[in-house]
Amino acid sequence: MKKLTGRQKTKIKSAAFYVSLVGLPVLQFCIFYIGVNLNSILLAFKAYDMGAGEYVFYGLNNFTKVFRDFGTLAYLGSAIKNSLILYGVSILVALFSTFFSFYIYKKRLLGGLFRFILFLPHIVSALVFSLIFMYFTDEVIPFFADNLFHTAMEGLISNPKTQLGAVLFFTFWTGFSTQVLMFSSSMSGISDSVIEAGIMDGVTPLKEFFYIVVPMVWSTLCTFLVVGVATIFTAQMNLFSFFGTSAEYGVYTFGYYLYRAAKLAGVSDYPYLSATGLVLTAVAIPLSFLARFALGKVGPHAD
Amino acid sequence: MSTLSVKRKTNGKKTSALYTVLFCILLLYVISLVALLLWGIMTSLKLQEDFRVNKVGFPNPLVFDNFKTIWDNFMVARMINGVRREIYVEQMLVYTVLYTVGGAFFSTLAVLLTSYAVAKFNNIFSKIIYFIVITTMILPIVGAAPSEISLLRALGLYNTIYGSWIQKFNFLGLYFLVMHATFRGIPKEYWEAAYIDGAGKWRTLLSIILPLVKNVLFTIMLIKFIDLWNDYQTPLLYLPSYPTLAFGVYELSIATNQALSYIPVRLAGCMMLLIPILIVFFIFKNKIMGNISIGGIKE
Repeated sequence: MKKLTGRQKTKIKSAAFYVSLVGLPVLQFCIFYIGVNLNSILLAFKAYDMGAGEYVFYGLNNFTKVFRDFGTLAYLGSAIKNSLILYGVSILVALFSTFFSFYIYKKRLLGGLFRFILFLPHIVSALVFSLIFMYFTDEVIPFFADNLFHTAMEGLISNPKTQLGAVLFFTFWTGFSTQVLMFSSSMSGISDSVIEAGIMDGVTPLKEFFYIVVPMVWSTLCTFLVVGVATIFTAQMNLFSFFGTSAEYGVYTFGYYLYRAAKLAGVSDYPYLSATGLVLTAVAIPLSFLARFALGKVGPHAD
Repeated sequence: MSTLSVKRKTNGKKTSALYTVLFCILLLYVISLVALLLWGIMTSLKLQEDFRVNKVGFPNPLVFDNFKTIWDNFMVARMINGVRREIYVEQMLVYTVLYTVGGAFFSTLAVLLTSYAVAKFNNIFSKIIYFIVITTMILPIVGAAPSEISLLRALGLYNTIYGSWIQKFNFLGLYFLVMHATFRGIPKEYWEAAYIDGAGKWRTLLSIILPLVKNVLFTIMLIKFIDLWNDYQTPLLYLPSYPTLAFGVYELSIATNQALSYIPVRLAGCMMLLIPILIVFFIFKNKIMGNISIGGIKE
């Protein structure tokens, strides 16, 4: 047998070390990402045979059912509407929040304290925040309406007429801090010399914001908007925290619908849900790329 | 626009109308965040009789009875292997520690191993792994939970703590990029010096490189720990027989038991989930807010 040279031995050792580092994580990826998604595709073409206790080929019937349900079921109609509202308003809130990021970035009065408090919605469980908000709006606001204005009032979350507005408000109220922190972090990467040059030219804070800072963080804003496209199909709007599995149809989002369905589903429901997921993914992927392409064409540039 | 410019000087910094408006709105916003949390804490210290007439004032008297009620009475009942089991708060705490510490450890370990390999070895596999990380961050996959549950069932990993650890042993996501950038930022001389001293590859990683990146690594683990501590939806879906504290708080919010249906009692349950994580945040606030910002790594 031919003896290995020193160089070959080193190569083999390096390869063994490389495999020992990435072997298990890559195996996990193959099972839990590739395997799960392949299984999802296969399930979408199957149905569960109760008698035999196994999945059997079902053709395109699950997809036919999904498309029919999108046109007829009220909660899927609400899910489309609410998910789009959520995305639309989140874009506006993101744009609005950049002003406040600028304030934190410029380290103005109490900027450090504000930054510290803005971390709270990341640290505190969304469930805890949602429940405190729900109990407050359902107990304290009607209590004051009764005592101060002698008006009987239902809680904002428990009243079907106000709950969508209240839940949307809560989502943006807590999400605002994330956006402020995200953009202020991005702004902290701007070179000091660029800002100093602007100051020496005598720019006002407003000009500094629009002509220096916004172009420099435009790519972060674009990334947020592109990634946000996926949230049209995944964001739950904290509905599960507020209502568990029993939210009113009028407040449904896709994210809530899918999570709730997965929570309540039995083995016979998995094929239909997988088909729903595939249909939504087939819409989400091109939409994300379209948003990326469109945002690349518009907006300011750092140069 | 010039009307919005320099008006006066405070503490050596020029103040404009823009900054004043932003300051006022931010102040109102942070007050609203803190006030709501304080209201929750105060209400959890009230008796139900007090809360009925005193919705926003200080507790009168200030009591910890609600916490005792939760500790003594709150439980999640589950059928395990055909036997009904009642899981109380102590047991939930054990499951929480197993789920959060184990999950944070394994997910950070996967990121560490893979990002180190990709940063250190410039080969085709590293390029593929990097491409996979970026692509999976852009590609929105929707509704894979039923498939994942069915796969976990088939592998015998569904509804097991070790199954949740294997699920978390995942290198995808933002922290891979953070660690990759950190490893790339370490000068080559460290590896060269280790090689000259005769250190093997594992020894170089464990004795030389890890101490250099321990702060970033610890921060990533801490953030993952906080996320997992607060996560109730994953255990609800994949660990139904092992209720964590967050899972328990969700169950508490829909509990029908009379003693647990009062708002001060339910808020006491919320505080049991909230207070430990607030303590962790206050202790490690500089690490959480400093080492890694949401937008990336800060040196």
